[in-house]
Amino acid sequence: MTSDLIGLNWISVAAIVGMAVVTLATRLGGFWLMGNVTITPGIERFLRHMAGGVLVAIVTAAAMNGDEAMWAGLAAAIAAMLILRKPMTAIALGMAIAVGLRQFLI
Amino acid sequence: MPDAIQQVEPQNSAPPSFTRSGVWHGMRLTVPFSISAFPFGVAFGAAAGAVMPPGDATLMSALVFAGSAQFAVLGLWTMPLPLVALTLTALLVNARHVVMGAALHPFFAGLPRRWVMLMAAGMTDGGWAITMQEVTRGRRDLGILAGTIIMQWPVWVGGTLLGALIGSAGLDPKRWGLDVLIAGVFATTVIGLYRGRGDILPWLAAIGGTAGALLWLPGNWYILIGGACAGLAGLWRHDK
Repeated sequence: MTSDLIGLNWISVAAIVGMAVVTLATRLGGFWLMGNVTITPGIERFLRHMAGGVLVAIVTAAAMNGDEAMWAGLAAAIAAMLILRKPMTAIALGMAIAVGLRQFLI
Repeated sequence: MPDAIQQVEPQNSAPPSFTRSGVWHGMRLTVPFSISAFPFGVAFGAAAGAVMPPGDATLMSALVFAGSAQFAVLGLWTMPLPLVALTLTALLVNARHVVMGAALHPFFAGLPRRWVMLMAAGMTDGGWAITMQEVTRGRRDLGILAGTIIMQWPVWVGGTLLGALIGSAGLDPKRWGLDVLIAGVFATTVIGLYRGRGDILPWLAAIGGTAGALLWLPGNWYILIGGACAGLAGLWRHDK
């Protein structure tokens, strides 16, 4: 039970350390590059749009693999965010709708 | 998240420094971010606690300290862990840091490199935005960035631990809407990133690339392909 709570088997730790190392590399990368090479406007545009694209990809995958409750919840969260511009409220609304649908309808 | 970073060259401002008053100033400016980081930390912990032990979730928040990347890997966190896909996803989601660091670099030129690198290691979107705003106003104090880290890291890690203990109590993630929570975090982040029509084509390209990858390719290629499609579409649109 204790080991279930704490976790930390070698493969999980390896995954977390791998994520930490590449994340550190991105944080230091901009400072390091500027001292050595120039970041062209093209590279900057590619990186900036790629960052948004990765997030769009995750939302698209969630929608394609999701059930009706996911679609309704996601649609509600997006609509609420467009209107209210409050992420927390929008996400909470989406969750509530999905939970309600799964509880009572599906 | 940076948008259209111009290379602002420091001019007519004090030389760069690292002062205690800068640290305090950074901490004060970060309070609103700390307040929102806590519930997000709890939410991440709860979602993570459903797929991994609380110890792993907390270690991840402590070492990776990057909310979007951490949420992004949760969908991939199934045994056996896909190490390459997990690492690659963290790299792609965090690639924006390169642009952010490059924009901040000139303002701290002249300070010892290891100070700058040490503080860069804890740079978040919020911390970057606060520091960038202050240095462009002439206050080139690396302590500000340090202050943003002091006010965010403990909150994020503590929130994760609390959420993970709740989430590991055998919750059914779908019944509690945790899958919608994860998708909603990204959907609202994307909307918050919108800076004008120039973003629409890259996002449509990402949707198209992702849908194609999910339909025709095995595994988790969709993240790489969606990101690459958006990056290329963003380049192409500006080259015309």
